[in-house]
Amino acid sequence: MSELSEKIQQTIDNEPVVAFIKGTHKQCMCGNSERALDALRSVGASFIAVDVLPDPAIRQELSALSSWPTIPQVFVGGELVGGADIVQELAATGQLEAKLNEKLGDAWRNGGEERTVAVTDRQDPFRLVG
Amino acid sequence: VTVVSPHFSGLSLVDQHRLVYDALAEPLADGTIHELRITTRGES
Repeated sequence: MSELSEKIQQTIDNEPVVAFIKGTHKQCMCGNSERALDALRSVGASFIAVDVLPDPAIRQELSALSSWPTIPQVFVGGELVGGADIVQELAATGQLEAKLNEKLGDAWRNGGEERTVAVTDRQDPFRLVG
Repeated sequence: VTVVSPHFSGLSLVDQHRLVYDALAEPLADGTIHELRITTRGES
């Protein structure tokens, strides 16, 4: 397993809610990624975002680990919950909250905090500075 | 795409969508399909 792959797996295992997206939580670069984040926001879940754009290898390694071909990917308690379509569907039917409760108890109801973390030192070459 | 199939019964949504992605792997890989929205339902 590569260092990057291990870092991705650790992030999935250690973070209660993690969304792999194109861009950051503040500057989302893709409508589907935004849909996934909005679904999490709609239930007030705190989450960590990981930007896959800095290095194409992040996407490749992630998809190899998750057997899921596209971005975004949302994990709760280490389990792949889905891409944008599923997470949105679950949020609309109340099942996203049920899944969060099942995997995390009350731990996800802590104020809807959002952060973006890096799994690589590389910078997104297209990111605007500032 | 919306796919309704008895194959979906008993599968999680993640596994249901994986089946759709698998079925469309070729056009997804060669760029024929650039973006895909999936809705799945087991046969009712």
